[in-house]
Order: sequence, then C-alpha cells, then structure tokens
Amino acid sequence: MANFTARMERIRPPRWVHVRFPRGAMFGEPGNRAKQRAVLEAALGAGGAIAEPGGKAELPYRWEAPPVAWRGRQITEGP
Amino acid sequence: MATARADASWIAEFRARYEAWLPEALPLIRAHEYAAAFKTYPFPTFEAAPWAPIRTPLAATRLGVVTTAGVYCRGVEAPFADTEEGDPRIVELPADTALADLDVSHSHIPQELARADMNVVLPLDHLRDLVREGALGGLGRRVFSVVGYRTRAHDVAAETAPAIAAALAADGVDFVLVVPV
Repeated sequence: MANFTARMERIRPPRWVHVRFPRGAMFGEPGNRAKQRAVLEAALGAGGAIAEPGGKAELPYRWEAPPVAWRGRQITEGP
Repeated sequence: MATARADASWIAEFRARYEAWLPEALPLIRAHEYAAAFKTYPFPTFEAAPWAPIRTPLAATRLGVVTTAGVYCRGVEAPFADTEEGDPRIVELPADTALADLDVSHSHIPQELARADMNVVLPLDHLRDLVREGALGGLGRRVFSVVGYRTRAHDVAAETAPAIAAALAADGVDFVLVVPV
C-alpha cells in the first residue's frame, strides 16, 4: 500500500493499494479503529483481487482529522 | 508457492549514479534541506512489475508484514539511528508483541501519529482480530520493521529485501503486506 502515486509508478510493485492519508498514518486517524480495520480489510482483499502485474486499487477513505503539521506544511494526504 | 525473481540488472548503474550524487547531496541532507538534496537523486525506475498470482483464500493465508516506520521494541532494541544515508538495520518483532511496548524512530515522518496509535503504521491489533475471527489464516511468527529513509537503494535491493524475503519464506508466509510509511 502507498500514498505516493508517482513513486509507486517508478517502483512498480507487484500490486498496490492507494491510500489518501498523510505520511505516518497509512491506516487512517489514530484511534479510529473502525476505519483502520476497514482500510486493512480492503487492502488485503485487493491483494487477491488485483489480477495484473502492477495493478492498483483505489480506496475511498479520506483523512478526517485536522491536517498534520509536517515541515512547514499542513498535510492530509500524500504527494 | 509461486515465486517472482528480483531484477538486479539496474544495481551497477544505480550505484555509479548514486556515488556521483552523494557528495553534493550530503551537505544539503546535513542542513535538512531534503527537497534540494533529493531533486537530483537518481531514483531507480522499473518498466515491469514482478508478479506471482495469489491463489490462497485469505482465510487460509499466513500473512507476512513489513513496516517502514522504524518501529522497535523499547528496552529490547535501540531506536533506528538518524543518519544521512539511513539506518540499514532490520528489526524483527514477535507477531504477538504488545503495541504498547513499541515506539517509532523514523525521523522523516510525523511520529506523534504512531505514538498515539501504533496501528496506523503496524495494524497488529486488527490483524490479530482477523485471525481470531477466522477471516485471516494466520500471521508469520515475526513481523519486520525497517526505516523508510534509505538512500542506498542498491543496498536495500541487494541486502535488506533479500534478507527479509528469506525470513518470510522461512516463516511460511503466503503473501506480504508492506506498509511504506
């Protein structure tokens, strides 16, 4: 799984899941157990469903906490 | 289990380009000017994705897990070191490790998120729930932690990844969840 599409397009993993969360929290907000579980189950399910090399699944989840302060920026997802 | 071979043909050329990049990048890295340092980093780019089909149902799957959040067990291992080229260590954590015993030491992420809830970089609570519920066959006996900041991509490819892959195979995992952080 990853939140940085351009980098994954260089690396070309066998299969991957795109999550739109900030770096440091790939499964969603701290304490949001329902979302973390949903992201994990979707990622594991996508692993088996992706049928072509390099295939990607987009997950619908978004960051629902205040933006994360990181090196002078406020971020809610990857680059 | 079907296996995919790693492509090592890029490593020699990358190593040469890396050694040309490093002298100018080091002062920038030491000054924490990472955007400037990595503007000219010779990122490896691959045309093809390695592939092995997944045929085992999740309920019968033994899952391996790798996180790049620099997770370590307090009082057992040292934190990953914050170095210019990244700490090459691999930390092995028992799959039944209590998350409360863990900390993160990846210096290029906002650490407070994982410190508030380690599941955001290593969802062991949820994975163990899935196993208990029968939705997942099991976990490898170890999970693996590295730090995602590693500039020596040739060393990651030639040493780190093969070592982890061999350990995962020894633990009998069917496929691996890699969490790059």
